[in-house]
Amino acid sequence: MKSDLEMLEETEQNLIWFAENSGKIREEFGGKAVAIKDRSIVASADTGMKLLGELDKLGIDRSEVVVERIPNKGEIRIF
Amino acid sequence: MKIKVIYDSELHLLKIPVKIKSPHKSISVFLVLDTGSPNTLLNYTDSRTLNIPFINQSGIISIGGSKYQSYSYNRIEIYFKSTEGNSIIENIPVKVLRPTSSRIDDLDELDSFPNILGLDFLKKYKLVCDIKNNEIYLERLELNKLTQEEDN
Repeated sequence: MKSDLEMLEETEQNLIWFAENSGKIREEFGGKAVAIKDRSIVASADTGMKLLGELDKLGIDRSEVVVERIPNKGEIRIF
Repeated sequence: MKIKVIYDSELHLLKIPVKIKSPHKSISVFLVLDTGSPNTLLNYTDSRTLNIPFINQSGIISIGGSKYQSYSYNRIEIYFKSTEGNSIIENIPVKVLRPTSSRIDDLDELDSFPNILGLDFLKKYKLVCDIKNNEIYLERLELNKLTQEEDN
């Protein structure tokens, strides 16, 4: 089992990778929820709930990935 | 203690990598730093994964023209990584949201919102944001400063 610090380090590396590649990721996965693991997208679906189902099928636990929602290309989100 | 904030230049968002722990489960997420949000909000699917109960009603929240019922929850720990390589644990009351209608579209829209680190958390930290020089971080305020602010 990974320590808190190991999990945080992995999450940070995944975020740095995501931020560096968010343009390309948005081109391919705009409007979807994606699961990120080891600096790659391992699953995607139209919604977060559907993504959990995809992860189940792949035998991947939610705690092993970061789930991120990707806005459509050209869409600016103001919360 | 400082926490590095990462700027996503494509999506124009400030994000922080964290681990969120409930009494039931731990997950890793990217929090979006949002000084315009008075509260820290958890995404709908993530709140379900963490088994956060929709019990303590806490008012209506409007986001992007839609209204959602909020529920408060006080048993969440958020783990941050400091720039010195240590973990920082913060207990922050969070809010989770549900649509006020039963339309599936509203639920999908709600689920597209990220996890948001709001102004409630930022009261404990100083935010330094120099995007041009990529120097963006949160720095924990000293305890005496926090006490003075609470007294005022």
